[in-house]
Amino acid sequence: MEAGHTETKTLSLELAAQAFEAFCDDISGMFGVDMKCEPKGVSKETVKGLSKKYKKLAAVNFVKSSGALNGVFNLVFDQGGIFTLAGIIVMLPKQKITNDIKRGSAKEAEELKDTIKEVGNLLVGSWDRVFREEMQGHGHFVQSNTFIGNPWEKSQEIINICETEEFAFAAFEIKVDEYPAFSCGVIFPESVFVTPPQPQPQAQPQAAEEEKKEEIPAVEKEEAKPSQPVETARQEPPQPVENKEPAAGPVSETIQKMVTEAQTKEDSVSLKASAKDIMQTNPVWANGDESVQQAMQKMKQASVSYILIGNQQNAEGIVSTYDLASAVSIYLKPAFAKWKTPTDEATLQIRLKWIMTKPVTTVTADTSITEVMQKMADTGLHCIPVAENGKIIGLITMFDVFKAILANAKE
Amino acid sequence: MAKSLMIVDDSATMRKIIMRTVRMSGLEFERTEEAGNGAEAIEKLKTSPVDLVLCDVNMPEMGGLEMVKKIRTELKICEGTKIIMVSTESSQELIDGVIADGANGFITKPFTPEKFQEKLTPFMN
Repeated sequence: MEAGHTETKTLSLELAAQAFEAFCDDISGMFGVDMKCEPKGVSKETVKGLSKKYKKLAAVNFVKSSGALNGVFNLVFDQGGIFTLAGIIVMLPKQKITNDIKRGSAKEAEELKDTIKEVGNLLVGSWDRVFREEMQGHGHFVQSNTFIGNPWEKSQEIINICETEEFAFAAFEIKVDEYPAFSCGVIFPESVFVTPPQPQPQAQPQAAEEEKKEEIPAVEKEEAKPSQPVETARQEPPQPVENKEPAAGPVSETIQKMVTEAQTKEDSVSLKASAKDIMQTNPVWANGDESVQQAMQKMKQASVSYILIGNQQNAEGIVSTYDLASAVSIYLKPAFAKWKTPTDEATLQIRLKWIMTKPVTTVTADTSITEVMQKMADTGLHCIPVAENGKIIGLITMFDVFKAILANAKE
Repeated sequence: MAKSLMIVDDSATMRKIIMRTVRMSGLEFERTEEAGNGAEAIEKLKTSPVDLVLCDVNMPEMGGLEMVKKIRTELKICEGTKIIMVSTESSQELIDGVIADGANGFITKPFTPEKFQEKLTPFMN
């Protein structure tokens, strides 16, 4: 396990306590109650373990994170938590809340779904604030979904965790006024602590790049190892957009092997060609304020997997179909449509500027295909725009590289 | 005195919470309206403008940011209406952006009656 991975995990578990405390303070201030939180320990858990602790109903809030934490983690409340918090927020009579805590049914919880979502929204807000203040590199947390019921029986489908997967679970107990204490906690899958491949800074002008290369001894250049691909963070299952692709992983390893092979083959013809020979010259563009839905339409119409964000020549960011699939709610999939709510539809309105990868890594028109492949292998990027004098003139995807290799093989 | 208020949020629960908190803050309005998203709010504002709008940021169909832009730059309606955004998202980038687009203020969740009083009182006269 990487040192950074361990540090992020340790800090996240520490901040979980602060975040639940902040949530208690927030609810206390908003609704005039006395709400207190007590940590109950951190453990390595499985779905089976949690199903014993959260036997009746559970509310699972899905938190989409970016930055230091990357992927989806879950905040869980037991039956007591569902009815206590929802009851306080909609000001139900004390007796009704107490009865529901003991005997409330799934149907009654479902009737409070809108309120429980708001609880989740406020909770994620508290978490976001604490992590923004305390964790360097934190991007943001967004509540993507709320599930109410038994999430453990079909855990793979519902919370995207298989039965045997181990994850860190930080447990807490919350007490509100004179109501019975209830349990809650956070599920941190290992994958959220894995650092995603970092976008590289803008490519240097070709001349400067060549100058830089001259400083590196040839032998050292040959022996230089590419950065190791990292495990892809757990993301939500693919959405209406197809062609999902992880940011890095075995494909990057394949590219790296191809780069090494290409460097040793003197007779490689196509691979001596440059970026301008294989690039797509009409990339699709969008404004950062456009929505995920608008991008999906544009990309579908143009049959492309990447869209550049900016003003036709200056790319502020880039968005892939995979980014779009990760941004929108799982409940927009036909299989989950019966659980779809307006909040799920709202994920289609997420602005592209919030999910785009930035800054954009570019190559110049004269960069060789081998170098493009090397860059893809080093960064885990599957699409690299081509720039000349600071203006985007095209882009190269991994498939363009494959086509060049195939053409080479045919020759 | 501001006499009319519109609360724009896709969650009926949150609209009720906001309304309750506004009342608890001691601020009084003769007329209150509700809308479930930016588009619905604009339609209502066209026929029945209000003095103050409290608006969520993330909503289906039309979010708060788009609504502000549309009202201020495209439609140029309700020039006297003050728009205050209410959101759990509180990054400076978001706040600066929406103020630049024409919103008059930003309240972050969680809010309290005191916070509403502090942020809304300047617009009441």
